[in-house]
Amino acid sequence: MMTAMILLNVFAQSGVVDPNKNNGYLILGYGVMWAIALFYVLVLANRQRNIREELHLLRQLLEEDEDSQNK
Amino acid sequence: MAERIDRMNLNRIVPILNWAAGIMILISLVVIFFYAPVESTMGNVQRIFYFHVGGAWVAAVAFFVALLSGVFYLRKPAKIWDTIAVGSVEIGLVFTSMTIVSGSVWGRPAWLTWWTWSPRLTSITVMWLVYVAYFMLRGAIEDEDRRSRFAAVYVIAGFVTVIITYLSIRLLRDIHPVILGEASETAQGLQEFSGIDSGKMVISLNVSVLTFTVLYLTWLANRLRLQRLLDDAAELKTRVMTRLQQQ
Repeated sequence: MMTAMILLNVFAQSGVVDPNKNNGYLILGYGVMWAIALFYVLVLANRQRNIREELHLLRQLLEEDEDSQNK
Repeated sequence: MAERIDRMNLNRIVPILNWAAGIMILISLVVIFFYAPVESTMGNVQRIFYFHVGGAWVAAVAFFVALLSGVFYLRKPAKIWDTIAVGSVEIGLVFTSMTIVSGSVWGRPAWLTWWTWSPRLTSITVMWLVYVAYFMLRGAIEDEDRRSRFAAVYVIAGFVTVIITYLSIRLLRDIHPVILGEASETAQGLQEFSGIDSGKMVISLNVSVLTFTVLYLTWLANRLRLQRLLDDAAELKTRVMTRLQQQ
């Protein structure tokens, strides 16, 4: 009875809200923000990997060409 | 200064920054979720604000760095300034996107709508579009020197949108709360939460701003290293083409 009265008193106060009421939005907000950040990191990593592969190929081409000229 | 930046050993700096950014993100998440107090009106969803404000602040810093690079390029054309400007605008756009999306998600429980064309939300959309157009401008000009020069002028002029976005809630009547500083008397809109009402909130916000600053520097260093690789590839391609023409 006492507990119920305390609870009623708390909920009757203006401005008292359930702090966890909108936690879904909190998770969604952080989730979307970090999804954007992760997407950018993946784009950067992918561009870096592709360019390294291209560099490796170009160096290989030049080396093969030099070898054939030396022969 | 351009030469000093150009000579930086990015292969050593980038891994250090990558680790620093990762550790800072973890620290800021702990601070935001376990140290910062529950806001009295909105509850836990207000915790979005720490990354939302941090992202907005660093986006403005990134666009300011792009402006400075533009000024330096026009004073003394060096490729590094152009590279820093491109990287900064790119990263600034990522942070602006994060800010817009997180603000929209926060706005749903606060304003009961995902989006409203208030002065702040309209001005930040215009800002985002102006910086997206920066890449369209670059893509439309073939000559490298001309492209860099035009882009430098554009990025200087584009910063006006950042200033307008910052001032919008301070000068105009807006639904968006004013977090830092005072709003003018005519600019009082709906204030959904009590603002920064404790020292712990200030510390949490500062940690988040610092984290995003480190993240910006990390991404910029990665972007500069990528540009070096692209330049190396372009040089090698020229050499290969020359060899092919000789044969």
